[in-house]
Amino acid sequence: MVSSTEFEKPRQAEMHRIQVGSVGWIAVAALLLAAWAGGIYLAPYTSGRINMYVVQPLLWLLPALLALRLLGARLQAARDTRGYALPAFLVGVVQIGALLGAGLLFGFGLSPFGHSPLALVMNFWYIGALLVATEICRWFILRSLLERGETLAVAVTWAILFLVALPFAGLSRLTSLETAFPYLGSVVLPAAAAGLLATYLALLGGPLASIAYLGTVKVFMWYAPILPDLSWPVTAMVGVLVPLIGLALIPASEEETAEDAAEVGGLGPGWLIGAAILVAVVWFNLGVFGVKPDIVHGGSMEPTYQTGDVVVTREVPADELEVGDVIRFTAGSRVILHRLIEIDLSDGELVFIAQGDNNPAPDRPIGAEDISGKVVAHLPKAGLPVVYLQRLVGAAMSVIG
Amino acid sequence: MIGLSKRFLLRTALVLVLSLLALGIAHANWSDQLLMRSTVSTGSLQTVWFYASCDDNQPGGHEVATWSVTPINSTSIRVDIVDGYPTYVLDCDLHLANAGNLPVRVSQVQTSGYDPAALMVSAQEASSPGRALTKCDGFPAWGTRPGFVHPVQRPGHCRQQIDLKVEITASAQPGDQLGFLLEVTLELVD
Repeated sequence: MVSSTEFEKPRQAEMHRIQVGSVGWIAVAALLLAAWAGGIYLAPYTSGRINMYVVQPLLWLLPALLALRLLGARLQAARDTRGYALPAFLVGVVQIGALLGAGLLFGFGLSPFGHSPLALVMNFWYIGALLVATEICRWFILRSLLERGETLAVAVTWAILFLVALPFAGLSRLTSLETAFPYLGSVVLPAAAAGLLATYLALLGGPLASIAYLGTVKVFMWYAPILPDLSWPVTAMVGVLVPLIGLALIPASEEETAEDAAEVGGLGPGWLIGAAILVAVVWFNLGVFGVKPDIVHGGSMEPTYQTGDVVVTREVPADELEVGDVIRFTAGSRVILHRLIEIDLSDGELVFIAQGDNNPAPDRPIGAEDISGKVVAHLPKAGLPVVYLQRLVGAAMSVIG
Repeated sequence: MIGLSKRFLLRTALVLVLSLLALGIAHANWSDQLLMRSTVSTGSLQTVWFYASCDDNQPGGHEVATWSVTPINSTSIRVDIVDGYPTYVLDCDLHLANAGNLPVRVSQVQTSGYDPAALMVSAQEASSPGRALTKCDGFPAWGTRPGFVHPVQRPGHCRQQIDLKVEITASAQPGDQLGFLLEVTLELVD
């Protein structure tokens, strides 16, 4: 176990604060924000390719060149701490692995990016210029602000770089809930999480470390011929949790173990993994991934399903349902799982009739609006502990009552 | 020193994880409400212009002429050139995506509303004319660059590129605007 005060001593000797005054970092930050805004406002006046491969890289390289100019000979500080590039690269590899793993579960699609030799070179210039420029600026702003306090430096740097990492066009998607959830989940929160890790890496290992992490993920996204075709909840889970777990596990010094690293915040090493599991379990139970578990109660579907079995239902459009599917629907305040035995068309609307396998008569007809999905998986007896617990609580309540 | 900032970073990380949790809960609650209000859908025919990339050939970097490409509706797009001059050429790649759940194909690309003596316009599908376009799944999830949306493509095709070439062939006065309408005709694929 290493406390924060124990390992701050060796780190203090390594700190290379940059004495450039307020003007330096404010100028770099202002140019960075101007580059972000400039690329957007100049887009209508330039062709798509000129804007992407000429205007934007030049705009973003300006603040980086200013930062390098202000740094001068102190640039050596960036080379002193390059040992963090390898763990940063490994976090990037883990993130790619998680995306590929999710792709195996949910499917792949063709990359939207060009893969001709010219496109490969031009895209390398585009992503390389923007990445190198932003990470030099991140490191410069961070180091310039260190003399005012490390927490302030980290917070301000993260906030500025988080803002410029957001695609401006996406802000219009906040106007409707239908598009706001995917935008917040697959763009905003992952950008915030990746920015936190990149800022931490820049603090420890300079721009090389943050480029090693962000560049690894970017190269995969831009150069892989196929990409995971993921829903926004899955993209959000991977994009938020992988960099944050990396943040918790990468030690702040060579003497510090990964366990110590996670203890620094006063939180145990497993807290983030625990939180990740909690998010996954809650999301799964709420049906955020598009599938939802239910525990069977009653005997209307025997012998197919018994009380205590768990069934997983998936949301499907009403016009994809077929006779024979077991559907999940609501009748009043009750949620029912019964088999679809008939589909009719009445006044242009679909009408569904379901019946329990063990019931002598069909249920009353229902509309598509009553149906919330069809059963896609069945886990016999998996919910029995919950059924017993409910019965126990029910019995206890009746005794108390 | 690092301990202080790492404490801040980890606490911010915890806030992000809780935000993720809250986002999922809010979405589940919202989609349940949406489900209760939903109506039967038996298929929709919907295309979207999602990307236009144009280059012109103005010599010496003198940006004399300006152009604009404006989607009018899901199948029509308007192209305008101001201050054009003879020999001015505009090359555009127009991208049309299928955003509906019915498979469609582009059966015709037409241009109209211009003087053939002043403009030479050609437009055609870039590859595999008439190929079936299925729904762009994930559309528009891939907003990776400002102003651009890149849907991931499932195997097969969900979008069609239309190559457009415009050349000004007659003299024009400064400030003159030359424009035309490009329309695609869609048909359902059995």
